[in-house]
Amino acid sequence: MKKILLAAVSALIAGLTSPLFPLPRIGGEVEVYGSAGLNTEDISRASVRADAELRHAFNETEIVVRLRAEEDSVRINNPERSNPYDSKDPDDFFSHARIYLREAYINQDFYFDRGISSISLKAGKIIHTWGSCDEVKPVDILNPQDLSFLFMKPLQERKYAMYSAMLSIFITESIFLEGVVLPQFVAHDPGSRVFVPNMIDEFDALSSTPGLNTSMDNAKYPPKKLSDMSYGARFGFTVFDIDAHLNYFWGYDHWPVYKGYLTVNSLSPLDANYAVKAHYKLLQMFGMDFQRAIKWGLAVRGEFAYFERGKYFDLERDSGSLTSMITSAYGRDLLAGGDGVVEKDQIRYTVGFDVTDLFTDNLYFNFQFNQEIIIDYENDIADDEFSHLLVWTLEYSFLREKARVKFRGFLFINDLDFAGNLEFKYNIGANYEVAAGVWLIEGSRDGTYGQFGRHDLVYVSGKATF
Amino acid sequence: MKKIALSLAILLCCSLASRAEDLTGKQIADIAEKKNQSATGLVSTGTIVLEDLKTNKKETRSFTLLGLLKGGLRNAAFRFTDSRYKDTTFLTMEKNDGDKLQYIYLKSVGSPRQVESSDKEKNFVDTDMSYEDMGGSKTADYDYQRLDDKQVNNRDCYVIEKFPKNKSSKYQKHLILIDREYWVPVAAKFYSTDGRVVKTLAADDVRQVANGIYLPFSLTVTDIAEQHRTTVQLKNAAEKPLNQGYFNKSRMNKSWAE
Repeated sequence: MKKILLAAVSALIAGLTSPLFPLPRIGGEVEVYGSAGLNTEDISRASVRADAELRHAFNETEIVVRLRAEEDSVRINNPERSNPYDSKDPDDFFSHARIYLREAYINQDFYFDRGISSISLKAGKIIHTWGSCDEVKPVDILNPQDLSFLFMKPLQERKYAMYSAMLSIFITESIFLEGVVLPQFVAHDPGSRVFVPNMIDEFDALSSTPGLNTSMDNAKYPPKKLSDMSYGARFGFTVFDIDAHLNYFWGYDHWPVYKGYLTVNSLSPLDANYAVKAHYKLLQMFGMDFQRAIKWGLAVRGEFAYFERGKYFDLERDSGSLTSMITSAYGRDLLAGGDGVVEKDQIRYTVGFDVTDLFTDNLYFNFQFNQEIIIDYENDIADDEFSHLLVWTLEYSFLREKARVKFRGFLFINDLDFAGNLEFKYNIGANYEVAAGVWLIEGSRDGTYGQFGRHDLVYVSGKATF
Repeated sequence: MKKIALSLAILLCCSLASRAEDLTGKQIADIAEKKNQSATGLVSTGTIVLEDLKTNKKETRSFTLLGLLKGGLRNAAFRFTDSRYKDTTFLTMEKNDGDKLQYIYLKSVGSPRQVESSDKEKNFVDTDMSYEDMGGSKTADYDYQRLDDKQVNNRDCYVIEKFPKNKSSKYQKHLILIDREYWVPVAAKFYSTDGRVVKTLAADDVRQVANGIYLPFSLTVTDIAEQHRTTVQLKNAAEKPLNQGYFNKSRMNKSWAE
């Protein structure tokens, strides 16, 4: 019996190590990060992330598993359902650590000799990527994001995978039709106790008003019913070397809409109940994106999205005091039985270009202009009818790409809010890189970026790939 | 009958030989570009060693290269399989006019990015090889001149000079030696605009990987000015049926069953 077992094990080892049965490829990354705030109220932050990845392909089948373990000293893993910036258990050390499936799926391709070219069927937890632009991507809305580092980590790194099934039909290798269903809803994850939006802070400040009872009610998530799942479709094609997609999405927005509720005791105006509650709304998007490399290392890219429903906007409010809030458009709407928000169609688009060698070799420049337009605008809406954002990356690599200096910037033109990142990165050998940088955020307290203006920080990080 | 067949064979050899002698530099370059391709698929794996000749520091990376001749047009997909560049994939698809559509897939971006490759003399990532050396060349971009054939390592070679039509090229000319039997460029010298040799290429260990397909298992490019050397060492190369999907930009993130 022992001999048979030994022979079987030997055969198995021989089989697994033979070229006929190549072992799955396992690799990954380990990243350590530390930052310190530049403002007095800020805190230090340390995090470690380890990704392990197993990929294997045999014939037309592909299996991908990505496992992530991470620990972040300011992370909230156990958020209150009412307020995601509060933890249920702030003293629990292990609430800062987590292990989860970053992505896991099976992909099966079918190739045909005649008729259509091929079909791909993919199912599992998938990170989808729609659109052609960088960072500000109006059509790339399928996955929720980990916002614990706000927008400081790259978009792809921020995404959470979603349970999905995807069918791609390649009519030719450059024309395809793709459908995706996502039978799950996950909200964007604020994930940290650092980047708390101004609206939450103002709400907390109001809670100390005498006679005013404030509460954040539990968020209202979409129903967990199959009939409420999200789905999308894409049609991709290449014409005159322009790669283009038409995109459609029907599903729930990962961003919450904070609806307000105010009840005032008619006998005593100093006895009022004010509550806010996060809602996740159904939206419909018609989109389009394109990219085209032109000449001289220059490529242009763009994305356009029209949100036919599901985009809600706060009414103008002044939350400095109860009186000022009640007299603002927001307060008046609450008193009239409204919820302080209004639904409008919206257009979002980004157009931009990138050039690999701007003026000199190895000077990369990426520039994008983003505009958001609220259709059928009303003057009481807090946001501007037209919002303009400039995003750029200027990166110079030298010492044969061993060293890089990068300057990223976000400038919200309407109120001149600015967030900028200067980073120096150095590659030590083939597998290890270290970086140091600074993030500076300036702008008004109500501004898109300015509300986080007290969180300027310096950081160092190291990343090893294996 | 045998005699007739033998005579015909000799005649054919003679005519081929005389045709080979008559080939112009441009024709040799054209043939070399189309040779050693496979309509079934070519899979190569190997390492790239980067060497700083001043400090003797070395850095090694692994890669996989897929090639497919599809409808007479060359398609190539290159992927780093380790290091900080792991999973970075380059896809080149030749168009009917000889131009190429090129894409890069970066894991950090998650979707293919069309890139512009007009500067074919630019180095590929941080290696000493240009995009042209990596298969991005187009014979129409050069004027050619054939020189007298030479023997290198006891192998007969065509010798051609090619002159860039682009006036802003950083090279005055390239001197290339092509193995007459294998149609593999086995050596090249790159001359700067002031006439100095600034870069050399040497291919070695040419092996037959399939019927009529020869590949060099060692390729060394030395940047004399920068004192830097890149050596591409193939571990395996074979002709295998390849999925056409590997040359589809929408599938650049997929694992390859090599």
